[in-house]
Amino acid sequence: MHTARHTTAAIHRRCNYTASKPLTALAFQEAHFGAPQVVKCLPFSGVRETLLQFETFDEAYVERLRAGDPPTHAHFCSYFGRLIGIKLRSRLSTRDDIEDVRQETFKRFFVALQGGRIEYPDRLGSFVNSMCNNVLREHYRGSKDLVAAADEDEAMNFPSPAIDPLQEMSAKEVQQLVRETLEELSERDRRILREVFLEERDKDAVCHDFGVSREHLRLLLHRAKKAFRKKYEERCA
Amino acid sequence: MDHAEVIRSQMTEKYLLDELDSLERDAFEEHFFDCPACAADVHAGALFVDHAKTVLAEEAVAERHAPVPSHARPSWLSWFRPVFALPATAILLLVIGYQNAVTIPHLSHQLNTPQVLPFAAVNVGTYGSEAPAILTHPGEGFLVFVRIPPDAAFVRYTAELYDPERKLEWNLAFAPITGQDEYPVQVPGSDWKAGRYALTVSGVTASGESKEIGNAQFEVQVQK
Repeated sequence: MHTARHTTAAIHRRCNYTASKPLTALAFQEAHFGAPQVVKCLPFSGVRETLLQFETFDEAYVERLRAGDPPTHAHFCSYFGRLIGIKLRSRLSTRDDIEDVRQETFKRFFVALQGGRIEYPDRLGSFVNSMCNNVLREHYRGSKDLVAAADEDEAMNFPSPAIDPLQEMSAKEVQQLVRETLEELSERDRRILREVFLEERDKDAVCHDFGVSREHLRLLLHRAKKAFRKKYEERCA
Repeated sequence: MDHAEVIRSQMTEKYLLDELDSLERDAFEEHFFDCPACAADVHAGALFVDHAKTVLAEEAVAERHAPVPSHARPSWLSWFRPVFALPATAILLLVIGYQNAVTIPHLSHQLNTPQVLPFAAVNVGTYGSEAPAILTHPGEGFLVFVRIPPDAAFVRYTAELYDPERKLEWNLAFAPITGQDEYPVQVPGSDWKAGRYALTVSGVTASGESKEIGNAQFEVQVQK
């Protein structure tokens, strides 16, 4: 059965864009559609990890987005790309599936944006989330809409994901911060996290084995996350 | 979903630990897509969890490949480990405490109190003398009155005491006193062996030459 899962993978396989510098989503939009039209966002797997940058979601933001303002566009794709990725990883099992749903969500969002269907700019996040939910439901059903979208996509050349050489280093930097955070934990707490996240053991069984409560587990994660975030923000600053 | 409620009920941690049912999960996602603070919290947590898996996996691999510790002979420094050092310190403190509280005051009292000591008088260089007996107690000292034939050639005397097994107990050097032929020697307390002790006395000339003058014996009887 032809499903949306094939879309991004197929796109990446057939990619023949060889620009000297990474093609931005906006440039791609202009190259293929002329502004303002439907924009295909770059995959986000090559994005260097940085803190989420906040902007106020309001009428002005939506207007800049509709006008194709590059910083706003980049912010939108980065911000919601990550949130969608987090949302989808507990629901979808493969990276391709996640990319397909994310791309389809963005595609539909920009269509809605150009169609003037963003009625509540201050609820932009909810709008993106609900759109992602719809795409996800269709993905589960193997919807014909997604199949059609995939076919349509395959007729176009998409840019390859720009491989940022800094991304590898960035991952190492983040890992180092995580390592430092983990080293501050007790041996027992580190083992608890290892059994929960790495070995994916049943959490109740882990808590029972280590003689701790689920509340302790949440507290442990909360403290580790807080310590990591502090280091992360300091490093980024 | 109210932000305060999200914080209060640790929704981010529950979300990352996959503890929410589908309704709660949907509601929380609806919230954090619109709430920058919660979005940042979820993002930081997800980033931590993702990379923690990598780091913890590296640790697990390293543990599996870590060499098994050999049972090598422990170094002398191992005696400083708390398992040895602490009991040893405690024992030393007890000993020191006992000495300060009992032994030293007792000895001090003995030294500062007039007392009558056992004694014996011996002649050095006199053949066929009988060995006088001294009745003493373990650790108790006594006096030996040593009679030495005066000889002006000697500038110094040395005395050596041998136990019944002919092992040297101690030696003593002292200067002659003009016109005196008897020297009281205080013998310190010791773990006496019952039997005959021998005292050998030598004279040392001005040129450093040593010459044995003679020896004397006395019988030590130990009263338990």
